[in-house]
Amino acid sequence: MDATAAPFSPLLLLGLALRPVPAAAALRAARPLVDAVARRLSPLVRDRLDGLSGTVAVLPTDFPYGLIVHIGADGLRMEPVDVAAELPGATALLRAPAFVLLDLAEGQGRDGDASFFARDLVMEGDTALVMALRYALEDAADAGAAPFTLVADSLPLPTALRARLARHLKTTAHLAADDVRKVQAAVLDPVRAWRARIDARLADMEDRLARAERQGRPRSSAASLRKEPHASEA
Amino acid sequence: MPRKPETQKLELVCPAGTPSALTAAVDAGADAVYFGFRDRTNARNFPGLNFSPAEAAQAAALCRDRGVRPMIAINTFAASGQEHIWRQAVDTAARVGVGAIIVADIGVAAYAARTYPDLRLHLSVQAAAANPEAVAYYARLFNVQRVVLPRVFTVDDIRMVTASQPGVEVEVFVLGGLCVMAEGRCTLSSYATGRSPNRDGVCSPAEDVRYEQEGDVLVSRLAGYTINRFGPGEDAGYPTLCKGRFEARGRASYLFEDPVSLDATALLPDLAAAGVTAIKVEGRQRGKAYVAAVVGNLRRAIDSLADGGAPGAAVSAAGFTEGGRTTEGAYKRGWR
Amino acid sequence: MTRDVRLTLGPLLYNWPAEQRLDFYRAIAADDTYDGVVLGEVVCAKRSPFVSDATLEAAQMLAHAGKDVVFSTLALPVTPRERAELADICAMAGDDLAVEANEAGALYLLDGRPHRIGPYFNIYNADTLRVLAGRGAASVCLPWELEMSSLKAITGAGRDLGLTIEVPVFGSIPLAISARCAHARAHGLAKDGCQYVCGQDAEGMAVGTLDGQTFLRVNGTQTLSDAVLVLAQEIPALVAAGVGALRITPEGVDMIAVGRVYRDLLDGATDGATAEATLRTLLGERRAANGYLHGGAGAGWETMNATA
Repeated sequence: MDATAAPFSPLLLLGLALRPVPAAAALRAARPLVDAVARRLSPLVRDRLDGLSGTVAVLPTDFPYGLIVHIGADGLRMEPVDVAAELPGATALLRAPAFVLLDLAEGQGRDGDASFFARDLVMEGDTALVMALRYALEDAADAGAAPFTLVADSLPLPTALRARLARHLKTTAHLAADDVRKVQAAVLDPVRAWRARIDARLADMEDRLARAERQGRPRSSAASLRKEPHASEA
Repeated sequence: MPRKPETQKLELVCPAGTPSALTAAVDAGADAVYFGFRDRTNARNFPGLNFSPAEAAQAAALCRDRGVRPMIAINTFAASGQEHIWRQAVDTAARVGVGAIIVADIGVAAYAARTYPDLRLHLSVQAAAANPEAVAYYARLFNVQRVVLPRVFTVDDIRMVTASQPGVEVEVFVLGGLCVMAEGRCTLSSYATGRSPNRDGVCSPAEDVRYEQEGDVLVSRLAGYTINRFGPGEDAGYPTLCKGRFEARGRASYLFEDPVSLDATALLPDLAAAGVTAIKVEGRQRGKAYVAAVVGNLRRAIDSLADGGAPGAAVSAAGFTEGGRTTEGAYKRGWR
Repeated sequence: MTRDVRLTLGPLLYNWPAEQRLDFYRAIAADDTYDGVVLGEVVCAKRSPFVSDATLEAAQMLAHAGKDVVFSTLALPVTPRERAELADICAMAGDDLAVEANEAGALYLLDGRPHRIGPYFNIYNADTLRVLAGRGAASVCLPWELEMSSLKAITGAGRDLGLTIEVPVFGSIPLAISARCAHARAHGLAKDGCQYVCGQDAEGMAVGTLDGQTFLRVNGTQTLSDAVLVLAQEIPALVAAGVGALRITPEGVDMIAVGRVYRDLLDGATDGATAEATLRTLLGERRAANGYLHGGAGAGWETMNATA
């Protein structure tokens, strides 16, 4: 019927950060983070996905990168994907604008059924698998694996900074989503407005990451989040 | 403390398909939460949904801590030769300490009444007690203390039940998915797919549902039968046969019912006046965002009503409904 | 001649006019194929005033002809008028008049007196049957949805309880009943003020999918399968399980011919494969289904090898 994409929305942000980078490089850079999120998530969803197997392609309609989720006896595995790429072997396909996936990720706004009713969420293929994934992710979010927490936790950062980053990611994402909604409603140029705002916030986030690095534990995947140095702190 | 003798405050009974939805319902102001086990013993037997015995125990404990009544739905019909699965579900519910179990099958009701005479028995909507005599039957045989009425009644019909069976509490659906057919008496799903609410706890099983985009048209199929085509921008609904688009008399139409959700919030004063004890929200398959939103809205409506105010406008208008529309269903006579 | 397994003609579900009903039952009464006939309006109480005289006349004819006559009751009595009709019929139940309950309201009214239970009541297990037997049920027709293993287990329990177990073997399958009338709705009408449009379709209104596939039939407030249940090769297994009666639901085909096929099958005068072929021929264009008994989709057809 519908599905959510709890851990995917942060990937959208990541994708934004990687946008100027060639697709292959962006996907390569995202992989360690995606792997880490999947490793954290897998034990939390395994129970609800018991007995199910297949591959769900989650593809934002307004963004260049999506996610392939492999579900099997060993739990869950994920890989970032270029939405324009061929997706052989996907048993289910889920398409929605980024803000819809974001709502689903946080269990806020509308639920999957509502987005499906409103035709904002398109689902093809194995309906049962997509539904089960949605329920599993929603429940995992309450078990301490809320998507933004997961992403922050998966980065090698000091504990205090992780919590701040999780909050920041969430705020950024929601502001961006709100912006998109407003902009789309007004039939303005959604992409440009969204990018302008999200770029500013990403710059902010990158700044924090950079400072975290300076505090020690430098990491390559965190570094790869950066594109150009922005130095503003609000 | 002074009490208004005429109507008691309506009890708000809310759905939970997962522990996270249960927490959302409790936080949003539910008086009672109902949920089921992860098997055929409940009528929302969907992949990935429902509670393990351990989760049920945690849920019941959480509810008790928060002053909320936990209820477990064991509301399918026990399969011959596998009655032990339903009996175990009753045993588990009794063990984790729920405020009531919700049953439909006479065999299951008899087992529960015999084995746990102190466990509160509610009659599920799936038992289709569609008249006062049917309500009296279950009360007489199993000491059923509450009946969830099928969605076939007008408000006047409900008054007929409460007036003639004062010893039995009445619970009615006010929000969510709307069965067009008498519940527990419908095998449309198994006719097409082999699986039904009564036997398998599932209507239009997800495994048999396929959506396809044909350009901007969304096609939904159930076990190979085309049950709808939604045009560009047209709001969609659940892939149930009773809300499908069919061809009859040379014309394609929603023969049984449009994709639409029940919302009887505006009727809360009438339902309370008709002697209804509890109002129920459908939607164990819904996300916690839905549960939080509609439970919160209904909480405010009930509280406002108890304080002498109006229940407010329909609560489900904010983009949550099937087909983007709501109906007051059978509660208004014209629906028939 | 003693008949171990009886043939019952189930209630007529369609809204046929009184004269057509009388003609139909006159022919049934004049023929010795059916042992019992179930009469009475099951679907919609609004039809009753127009046909109740014919029903009573048919009852007298059939009883006079030696048939076991049973009065069935509404599947979904909700309104005061429907409940009154139910109460009237149940009040007459006794040694002289057998009444068949189709929901719990009727069971309440018949509680403690001998009665029968029709296939609209949910009996999915032997525990349920035991409760019902304890309240006075003497004969039970099982629902359409049951598969063979459940059916055998329940029938076995019924035999132990001294109940006659009946099984539907022929006819469109009632799939749902509603407070709303889809038949009226298709004519742009509501149930109140329906103009009895269900009477326009002698076998219900055909309902197809958007792809033009035949699928359902709407009969007033009732939804029926388009396919006709045909159990023939399965009959020996049903008899072996202890089934005491076969229920045949009237359709717009030669129902005496249909009954004779089953009678011949029970008498060993024909085999399952031949019986099945004959029944399918009698059905003409209508599709046959036997999926429920074989544990699959009700609309399905399981091809049996000529044994059983």
